[in-house]
Amino acid sequence: MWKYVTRRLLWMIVTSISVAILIFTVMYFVPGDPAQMALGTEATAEELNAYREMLGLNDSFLVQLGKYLYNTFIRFDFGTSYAYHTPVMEEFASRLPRTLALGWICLIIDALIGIPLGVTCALHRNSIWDQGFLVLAMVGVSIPNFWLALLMVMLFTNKLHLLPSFGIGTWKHWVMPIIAGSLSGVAMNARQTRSAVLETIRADFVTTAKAKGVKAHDVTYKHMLPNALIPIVGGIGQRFGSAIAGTVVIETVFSFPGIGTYMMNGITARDYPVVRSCVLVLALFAAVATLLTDLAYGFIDPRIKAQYVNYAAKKRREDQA
Amino acid sequence: MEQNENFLQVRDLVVEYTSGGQVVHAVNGVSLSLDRGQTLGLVGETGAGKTTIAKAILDILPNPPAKVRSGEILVDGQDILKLSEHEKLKIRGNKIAMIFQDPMTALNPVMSVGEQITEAVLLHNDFTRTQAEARTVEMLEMVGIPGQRYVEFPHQFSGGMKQRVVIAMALACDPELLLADEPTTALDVTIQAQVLEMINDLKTKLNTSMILITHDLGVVAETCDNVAVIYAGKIVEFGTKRDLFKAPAHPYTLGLFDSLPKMDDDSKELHPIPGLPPDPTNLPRGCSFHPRCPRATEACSREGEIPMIELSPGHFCRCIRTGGNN
Ligand SMILES: Nc1ncnc2c1ncn2[C@@H]1O[C@H](COP(=O)(O)OP(=O)(O)OP(=O)(O)O)[C@@H](O)[C@H]1O
Ligand SMILES: [Mg+2]
Repeated sequence: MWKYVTRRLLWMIVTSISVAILIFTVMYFVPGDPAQMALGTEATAEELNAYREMLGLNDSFLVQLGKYLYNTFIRFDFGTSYAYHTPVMEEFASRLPRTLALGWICLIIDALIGIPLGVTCALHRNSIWDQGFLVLAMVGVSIPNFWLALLMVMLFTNKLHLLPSFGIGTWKHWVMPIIAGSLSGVAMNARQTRSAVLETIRADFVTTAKAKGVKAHDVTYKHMLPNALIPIVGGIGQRFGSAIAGTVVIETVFSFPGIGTYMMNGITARDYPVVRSCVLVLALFAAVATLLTDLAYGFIDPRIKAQYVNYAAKKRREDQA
Repeated sequence: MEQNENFLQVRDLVVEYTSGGQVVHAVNGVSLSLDRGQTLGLVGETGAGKTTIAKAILDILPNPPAKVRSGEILVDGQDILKLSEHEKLKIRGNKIAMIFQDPMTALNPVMSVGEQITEAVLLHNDFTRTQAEARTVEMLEMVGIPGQRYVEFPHQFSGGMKQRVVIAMALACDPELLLADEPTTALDVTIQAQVLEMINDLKTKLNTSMILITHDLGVVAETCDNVAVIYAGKIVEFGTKRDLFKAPAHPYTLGLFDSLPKMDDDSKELHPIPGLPPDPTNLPRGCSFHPRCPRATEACSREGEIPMIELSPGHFCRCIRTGGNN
């Protein structure tokens, strides 16, 4: 088991370095000049050049890449923002927890509302509630979250003056970003849960459980749900990465000071260190989420756990040989 | 107090499935009875409705798509279909237990096999957990699985061992009626014999009645007292094992025997019944078997129910061409 985790962690390092190289290359070739952005259109060629020299932007591609990788992965220094003139690490210290909190809260709401909703629909399949909900879920999945965000701002801020439309500070600032961020997830979880449960309703082992005299409630929660959960956990895991990434849009709409706004501002300002670090961190979260998902799979599904354990046992035998 | 005659009586059972807007006539008026300690064999082609009958007896058919249109299922004189859900729960797995057809899918993949048996034991006995677990280990060992495999999951067992687990589960609460749905089809021949012997031993020990569903007439010969031949959801012939093997009467039963390989036949040819089982959404008029029957006449396809004829005491046949001596 631990061998498996270690192996996966090693792969994660490889992935991170690849992502770092990729994003560096992309940013290098994207048009736009950080010096121009920082100094404005009035700046002379000499000023611009001096500024570029200071940032090390006049070095060759490989030298810049080498320096960047060395700083990031050996010295764990993400550089200093061109625009804010503060170390990226410092900004992360305050912004990262907010983005993570927002992402997590959305994800938990997705699961806490979506899964029971899906189970209920499956158990009362084809009832009016179920049909009505399916339509709502379709709508929920198809509404773009920024549009929903704007609608909410119009209603709750402009009309009712109930909730602030931007910034952070009180719990009220969190309400709209959380709703906007979790609606599609709730709908997706519910739909996936519904179909996963429907699939297990017909499974033979459910009939076996009934034949044993297990009562309907226990058939659902002890036999059907644990099996139905397997694909659901996978879905949640996949969405974790995109949930964190999805906050980028939401943060921007609500000027929520997290990684998302930081990255968007970074992109406009060609603030290379900021953009690179944000992308790297988001990729890292996606990778960790995938690992956690796979481990959760193993926890629920003994067949998959057996694979980890067998892998470890096989390794051990190979090591001894 | 216990009555031995007619321990189980099924009367005029009709079950339909609705699938894709069509009505599948799976069971069309089945009546049968079974005494305590006796074994009744249900034989018939695939799709004849055998599993549906067994599930109907436990009232565990999935609804929808299945619906019991009419009929009574009396166990000790009590109609199962009329009991409250609470009373049904007390009968399922306790008084009546079922061994399912496909051991590969009958077990919950994410629950240890021991736990799945213990669940049934706890439901129907006043046992503490420790006692229940001990009972499970005892059952596992009885079917030849070491007790320490209690904690293992279905995927760690072979098909034959899963079948044994399913059997152990069905027998864990000493059922009075065992519904064994092809308990040996998934097993290889040597294990088949062992499993049948095991079921037989347990049956005699506990005086359990059994309905044994099978395609295999050899299995019937070894285990059953009475036999019911099912075709398109109807019993077409019913009698003692002796009646059926010595004097098969219905053309379909004759066809079944003909399709068996024979030791003394030099031609080595098999004679499968020509044609296919009828479409259960659109059964033929009159006798469902007439399109495939070598003896069919025009009268066989006339509208209306073909009656059961008693050929000799206890030997029934549903065929207008077989009455009397021809
Ligand atoms: N869930 C279902 N939905 C629709 N039709 C069904 C369903 N289950 C069974 N049937 C139909 O009911 C009929 C009887 O099926 P059943 O499973 O009882 O047959 P069987 O005699 O047990 O066959 P086998 O020997 O293959 O197990 C078949 O025509 C089958 O297609
Ligand atoms: Mg069957």
